[in-house]
Amino acid sequence: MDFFEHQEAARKKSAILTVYFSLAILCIIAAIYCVAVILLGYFDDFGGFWHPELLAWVIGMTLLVIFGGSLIKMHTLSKGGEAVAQMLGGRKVHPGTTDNLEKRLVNVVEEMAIASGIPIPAVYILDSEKAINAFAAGLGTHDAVVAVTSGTLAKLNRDELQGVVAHEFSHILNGDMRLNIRLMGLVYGILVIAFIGWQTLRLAARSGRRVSRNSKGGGGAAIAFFAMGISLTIIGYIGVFFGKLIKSAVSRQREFLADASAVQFTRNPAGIAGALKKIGMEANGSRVHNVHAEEAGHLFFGNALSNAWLSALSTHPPIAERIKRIDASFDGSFEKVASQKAQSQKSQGKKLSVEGSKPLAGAAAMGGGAGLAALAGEALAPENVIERVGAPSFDHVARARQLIDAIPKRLKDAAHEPFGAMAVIYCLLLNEESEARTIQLNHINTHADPAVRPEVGTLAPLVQDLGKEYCLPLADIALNALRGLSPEQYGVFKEIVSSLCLADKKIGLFEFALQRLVVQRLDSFFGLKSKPRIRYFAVDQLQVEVHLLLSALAHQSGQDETLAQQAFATGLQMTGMDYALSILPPEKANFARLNKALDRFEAASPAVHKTILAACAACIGADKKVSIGEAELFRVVAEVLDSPIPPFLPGEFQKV
Amino acid sequence: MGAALVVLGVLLFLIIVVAVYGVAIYNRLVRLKNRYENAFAQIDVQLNRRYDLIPNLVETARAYLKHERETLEAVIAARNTALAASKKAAADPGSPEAMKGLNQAEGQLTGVMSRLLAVAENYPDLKANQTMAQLMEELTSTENKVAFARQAYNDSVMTYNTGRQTFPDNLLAGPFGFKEAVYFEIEDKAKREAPKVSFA
Repeated sequence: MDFFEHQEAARKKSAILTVYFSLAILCIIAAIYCVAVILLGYFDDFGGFWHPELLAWVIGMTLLVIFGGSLIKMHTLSKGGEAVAQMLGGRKVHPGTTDNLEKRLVNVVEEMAIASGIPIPAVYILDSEKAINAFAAGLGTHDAVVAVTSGTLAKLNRDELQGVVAHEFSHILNGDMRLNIRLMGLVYGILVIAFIGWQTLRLAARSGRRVSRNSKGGGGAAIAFFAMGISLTIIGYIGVFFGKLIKSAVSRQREFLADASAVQFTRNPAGIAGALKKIGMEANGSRVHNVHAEEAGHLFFGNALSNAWLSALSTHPPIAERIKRIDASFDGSFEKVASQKAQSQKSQGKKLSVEGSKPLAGAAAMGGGAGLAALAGEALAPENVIERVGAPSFDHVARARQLIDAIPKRLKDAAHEPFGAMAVIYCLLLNEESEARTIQLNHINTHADPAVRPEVGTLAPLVQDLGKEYCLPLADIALNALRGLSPEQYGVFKEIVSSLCLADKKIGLFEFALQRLVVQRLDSFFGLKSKPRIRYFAVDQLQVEVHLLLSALAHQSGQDETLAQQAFATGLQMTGMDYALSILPPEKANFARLNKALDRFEAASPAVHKTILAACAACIGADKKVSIGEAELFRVVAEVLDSPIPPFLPGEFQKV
Repeated sequence: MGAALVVLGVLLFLIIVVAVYGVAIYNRLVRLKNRYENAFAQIDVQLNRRYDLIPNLVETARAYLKHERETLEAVIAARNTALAASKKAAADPGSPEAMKGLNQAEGQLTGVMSRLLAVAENYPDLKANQTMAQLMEELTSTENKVAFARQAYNDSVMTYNTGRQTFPDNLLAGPFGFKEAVYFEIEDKAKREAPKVSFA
């Protein structure tokens, strides 16, 4: 099942959940009705069992409370992953942090993000949780958040940490997160009744104590309160039961899948197995104490709640079974593991590996002519591309590490905090032609914060020397830090980026890609743009835009007219639309229009995204040569199409 | 019986509507508060870098500035005060006491630093020293970053304070303990300019 099929499947899963959820509501309504009849019969001499008025009232009120609760929760969570992280008591980690343990975590997350082709997620730490656990939350790859407990930071080594982060990334890439958040919202509604019951009980207990001391008159009211509280709590537990059932139905299988994916990314089963074993050894394992842990239990890496009385209600499969699936030699006992760990830690000493410790196996060297062409052709064969979406492998992680390590430290440090990151982006947009460059630098002088100019001056030579394939990863890091801007600062930044692109009177490929990336990622972060609803379910509805996109891509290959037309035709064929369209001339297929087309693509379904992506791959790969420029444009288009593509490996493109 | 039920029903409905709206407002205030607290964390990273640079600077300069001992010691003292103040502020960003303390301490530190640099102008040997030049460049760069982060923090504080005061959010601000946040400003306006000294 490929990435796009995963996404469709996740959406369809909601249907099953709705069934469970409706069942829960029916049971709750029935229970409340019975209780109401009993109570009223006791007080008002209510005859009989069937009271349609009362039933209508009970139905109305119950639905109101349940949907009210769900609505409130969904509204809170609609703000994305950061809302969930903050709800669970998380503290945001600054990308330029100087704490060694935090730095290590940031490095691991950056590596994984660049390897997967998604924007670098924000990183949070749950300071007050000492057990080993982690979660990923968000509505999509654009607002994803990865959080770990302070116990995780302190107790796991780098390989194990990487295993846990890889597991969380697979949740992000498999489209689990949106479903999980929806789930949280929905289930909260049926938990609300239990909460109300608890509160009523507490109120009744307090007032009951007072009443029994003073007089006997109010005794009846207190008893009624008490009875209501107990019944609401009991009824509420029906909700809790169904809630757990629903969540476990969704999450348990996915945990095995995520574990397997983690092994695939890291090619190091010992990492994630080690983390699981450490959880198994701890008394508190992976318990999270925050009050909201119950609602969010299914988001976590390990079981965050106390062991359910019925194993079917647990959000996670048993630890021993998870370990066995990864490490067949595991025999189920944790004592042996403990002594092994003690030995290996003594030999390791206190060495803290912040950077990657594993040698870079599998980082392919640049091959010669024919071999190159073959690889390039293969890499862009549409089936291979589709398979690769959302499925980074160990080679990609190694490649990401290589890319990150090759960027000069001065640039990386600058890119890790907002001020320097701004300067880095400006430098990346500077033209190579000296005339245009002067115009751009003058613009920075006049419009940007005066302190930015010297920073740009210092960083510009470093950026100029940077190989083209390192530019997008550097931009990835900078864009992550730019989330630390205030909305006002972002407005100024965006203006300057746009004018720098226009300064040389024509927009180059890289400038277009970078500007689009900036706007794509940061506009949604600053709330200037929200994810559009899906409106286009067939590629035919977007034929104008596809025509434009393929024309633009075909022209990018730098070939002459005939070959461009051929590339265009190859791409068009892939879409299955057999209208007789010919390639648009470059003036018509310009970047300004392309931007608008990309906006429309955002509102298309995953199936349409898949078709368009395959068409683009076919178009670019038609001439069997891929330049870095084409590769980058392709990755930007893929990001707009919500299809994370891992970076190209060195043999797959040629330096043009 | 019927009438009473209907009235109760409508009442419950209204309560729920108000509750939903109230939660939305509360969440917004929480979000704005988190934003300025995050923004402060960013200033903190840069401030700490600055506090780390200053002792190195003082040590390098000490050999050359043998007769300026009081100035050097004043710098170290101001730096230590500012460090303590920043830790207090980090524990409770935006609170009046903590921020006032930080504003004052930072103002004093900036003042003392510019005096040190003015004094150092008279010592060409010191100006020629490579390490000194490098440290100065880092210091200036860090101070730029502090200024930038400060701007972001003040922006978020303003958004929060405005949000907190407008109707109907102001109804919830008091009872839920959303206090007014304080800006980060260097107290002595004359000394707000970062000293521009070139060590070319």
